[in-house]
Amino acid sequence: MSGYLSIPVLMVVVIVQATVMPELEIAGGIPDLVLLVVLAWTLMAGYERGLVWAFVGGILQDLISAVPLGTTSLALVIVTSLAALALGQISPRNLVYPALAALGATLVAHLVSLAVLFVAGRPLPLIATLLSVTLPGMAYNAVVMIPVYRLLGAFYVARRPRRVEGFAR
Amino acid sequence: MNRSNRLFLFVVSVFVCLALIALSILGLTTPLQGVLAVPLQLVQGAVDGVVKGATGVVGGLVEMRDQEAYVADMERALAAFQEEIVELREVEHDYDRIAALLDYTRSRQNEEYLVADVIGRDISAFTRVIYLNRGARDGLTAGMPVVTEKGLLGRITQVSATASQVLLITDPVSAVNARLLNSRAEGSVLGQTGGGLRMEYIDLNASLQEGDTAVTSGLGGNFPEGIIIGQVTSIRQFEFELYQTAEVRSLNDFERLETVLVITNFQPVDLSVFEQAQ
Repeated sequence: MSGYLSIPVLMVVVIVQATVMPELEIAGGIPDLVLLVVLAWTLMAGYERGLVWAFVGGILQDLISAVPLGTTSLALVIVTSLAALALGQISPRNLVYPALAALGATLVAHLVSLAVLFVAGRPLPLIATLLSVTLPGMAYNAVVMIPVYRLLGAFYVARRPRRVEGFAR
Repeated sequence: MNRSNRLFLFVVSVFVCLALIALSILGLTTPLQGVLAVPLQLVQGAVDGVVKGATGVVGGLVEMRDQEAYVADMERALAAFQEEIVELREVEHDYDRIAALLDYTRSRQNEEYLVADVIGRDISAFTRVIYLNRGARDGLTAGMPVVTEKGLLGRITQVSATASQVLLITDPVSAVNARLLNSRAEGSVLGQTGGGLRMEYIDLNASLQEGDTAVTSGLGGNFPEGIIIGQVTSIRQFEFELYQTAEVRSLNDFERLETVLVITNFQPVDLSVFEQAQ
C-alpha cells in the first residue's frame, strides 16, 4: 500500500477513534485504534511504511485533539521504531507478539505524550494517569489488537501475497 | 534499507515532530491546524451524530430491556404483596370476628363459652345443619346452644369425639320459644323451608310492631333466656286465625358462618318425663 493511501485510511481510523471508541470505554480505558493500526502495519509491512503511517496518523489525530501538533506523531514514531527494532516483521497469522507489542506500545506512547504535555506546560499527575488511563488502556489495546491485526493482516496478504514468504516469524 | 538509513529516517522524523511540537506550543501552527482540521472535524461531526444516534438506539433498547425486567420484577413483587394483603385481610377479618365474639361474651358474663369453627354444612337442601370442630373431648354435649355476637344460631344435636352437629334455628324442624322485647308477646320461632324464620302462636291481642326484637324466652328449657333471635320484619294477622304471625329476620348470615360460640354451662331441661306421664 502506498504512502498516499495511508492518508484516507488513517483519516477513517482517526474519525472512528474520535467517534466510536469513546463509546467503548471500560474502566477508564479506551482502545487507541490509531496506535494499533500503525503498530500492526509496521509489524506487517516493515519499518519504513510504518514510519509514514505513524507520522501521518499522529498528525491527523493531533488535528482534532487538544495536544500540541506533533505529539502523537512523535509518540507513534518512537513506538514504531522500538517495535521494528525489537520484533522486526511478524506474520499476519501471529497474534501473540502483536498483542504483547500493543501492551508495551501503549505504555511508551503514553509516556511520550505525558512528557510532551509536561514540556508544553500542561503536566499531569504521572502515577495517577498511568494507573487510571494507561493501565486499562494497555489491557484494552492488547485485546483489541488481536482482531485489528487479523483484519489488517488479511488485507495485507490480499494486497501483497508474495511478501508472506519473507516473514521472519 | 540499511540500519544507517533507518536511523536517519528516525532522527528526521523525530526532529520534524519536535519542531512541530515547538511551533505548536508557540502557537505558530494554529492557522494551519485550523484549515487542515476543517474537513476532519466536518466528517467527525457527521459520524459522531450517527454514532450517538446508534448508541442512543442501542442504549434505548438496553434500557427498554432493563425496564421490562424491572416491570417483571415489580409484577412479581406486586403478586407477592397482593398475596400478603389477602392473608392480612384474612387475619384482620378473623380478628374482627373474634373481637366481636369476645365483646358478646363480656356482655353475658353469667355464661361460659367455647369458641368453635364451622367446618362444614349439610349438603341437603332440606335441612339446615352445620358442623363444628369441637366435640365431646372439648366438653360439648347435645342440647348446648350455639350463638354468635349477632344472636342465636341453634343447638347441638349430635356430638362425636372431635366434632358436633348443630341444628340451626332456620331448619324447618327447629322451634324456639321466643319473646318480643317491646310488646312482651310470646310465641315460637320456627324455621322455614326457605331458610327464613317465622314467629307463630302470638296472642291475637298483642300489639306487634315491625322492628321489634325477638329474643329467647327461656320457656321449655331448651335455650337460655334473652338471646337475640332476630327482628320482626312483617306482621300477619287474620280474624279467622287464633294467633298472629310475624316474619323474623336474623342478623346472622347462616350461609357464611365461620366462628361461633357454644354456651357450655347451659344444660337443657329434660321434660320428656312429664310428657310420658301425661
